[in-house]
Amino acid sequence: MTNVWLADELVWIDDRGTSAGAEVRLNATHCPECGRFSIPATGTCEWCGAAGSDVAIAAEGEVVASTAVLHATPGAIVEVPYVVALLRFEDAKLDLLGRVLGTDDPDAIPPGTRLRVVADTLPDGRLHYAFVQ
Amino acid sequence: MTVVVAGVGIHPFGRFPLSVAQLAQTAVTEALADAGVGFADVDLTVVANVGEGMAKAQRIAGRLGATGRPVISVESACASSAAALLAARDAVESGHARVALCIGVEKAPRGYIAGAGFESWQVESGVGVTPIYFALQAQELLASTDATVEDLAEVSVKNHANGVLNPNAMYRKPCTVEEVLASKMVCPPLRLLMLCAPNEGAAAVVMMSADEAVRRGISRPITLRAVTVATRRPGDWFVPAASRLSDIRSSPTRTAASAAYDEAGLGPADLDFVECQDTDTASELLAYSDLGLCAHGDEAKLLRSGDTQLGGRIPVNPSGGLLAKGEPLGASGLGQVHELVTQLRGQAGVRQVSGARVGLAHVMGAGHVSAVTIMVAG
Ligand SMILES: [Zn+2]
Repeated sequence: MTNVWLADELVWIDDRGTSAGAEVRLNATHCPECGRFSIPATGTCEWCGAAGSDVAIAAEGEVVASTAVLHATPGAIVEVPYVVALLRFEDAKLDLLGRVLGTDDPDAIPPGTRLRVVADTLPDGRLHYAFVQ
Repeated sequence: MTVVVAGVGIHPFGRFPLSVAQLAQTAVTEALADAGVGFADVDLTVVANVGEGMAKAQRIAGRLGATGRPVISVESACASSAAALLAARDAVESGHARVALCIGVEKAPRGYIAGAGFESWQVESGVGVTPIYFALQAQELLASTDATVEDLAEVSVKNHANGVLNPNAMYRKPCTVEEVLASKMVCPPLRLLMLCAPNEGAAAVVMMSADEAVRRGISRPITLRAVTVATRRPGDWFVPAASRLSDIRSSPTRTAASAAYDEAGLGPADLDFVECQDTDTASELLAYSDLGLCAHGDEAKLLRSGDTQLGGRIPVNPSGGLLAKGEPLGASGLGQVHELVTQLRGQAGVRQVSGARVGLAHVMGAGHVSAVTIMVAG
């Protein structure tokens, strides 16, 4: 499995040897001061401002809440409708928002559903992260 | 030093074939006349706006007069107006300005509010969509309390009923629970009639010290008892953050409200009415607990009791809220202040909250900005 970074200002995944559909582990910044994780990884703790180091978090998590986007949003390059979930990574104590592949019904992934993190190809060819059951 | 609001003005919220400067001019002219001052008396002008470009404040204030005095621009998304109130209040309180003018104005495009502080990857990949945040917040409210989708609809019914009574509101038609639940789904569980619509409008507020108001013979000033602005603490989650901590939960509105109650020396039990940020109907319910009107978990109970209706114990959004007025981002908060002053003066006509002496206004915007203003009659 490949560890991948969320670059916080550029659209994403730098393809360090991964391809669409592959399971990936997202990198987060771990803080030596407060012990918390921040994502996207920026090298600075989002919560207390201390310098941290990048570590990979779990490759799967649990749905906290989900919804769907039914109408196109200006600037988005993905096609509607699609489902979005807030996924909980228990070890890192982080919830991350992401698109869910393979369903257009948020009720199909109720709270507690386990989803994996995968690399996904955006319509313009760039790799991005997504969640899949 | 006690700071008072001496005058307010508004341009109705809606859609108009007018420029931003024209919308603002109507509101400012009314506010200055209401306070009995001219633009030449204004020591500081603060313009709250989101969508306009460079030198907007000077362009907007420029048609009012060339006094050579400071005109500054503030932007804090839907809480921009509160940033203007904070700057103007501090200028008056410190003695730097004898008279300060706040102008909130907006011509927002139709549809979703775009560019709400998201990074480009969020927008492009489809997670930088503002209603997602309100929908997930609503899902969590439905899952963790006894609130139902019918309650979400009832908030809309209540605010639209109030909006019928407000000539400054954009939507002046009542709606039923059935109509709300049959309206177009936007992001489940939120439907079109559960979400406010960005629109156009302006509001203006003239502030001065209580002494200056006496000197000018202003008969019924309204005292500004608190203006607080909060941003993110570790347990908060709002637009545009992609992630949040899972083990602690807090809210910038709780932070702002707690600071405002401290500043005012008042508590939720002292309030006669509230104008809150009803971006969506779940946001209004969450504001009930965040502002201390009830405990978390009792939001739907408070709604169902009728207490937050016009005529109830603590009416919320007697103006119709953003659901009925629409939301001109930079102007919405000063629109609330206009409603507070109108109610506290006893001039709200058919939507008057009887015996209103203490009012609270709350806005919440992208960037985890929440702001609370408390005003008292006399
Ligand atoms: Zn830290």
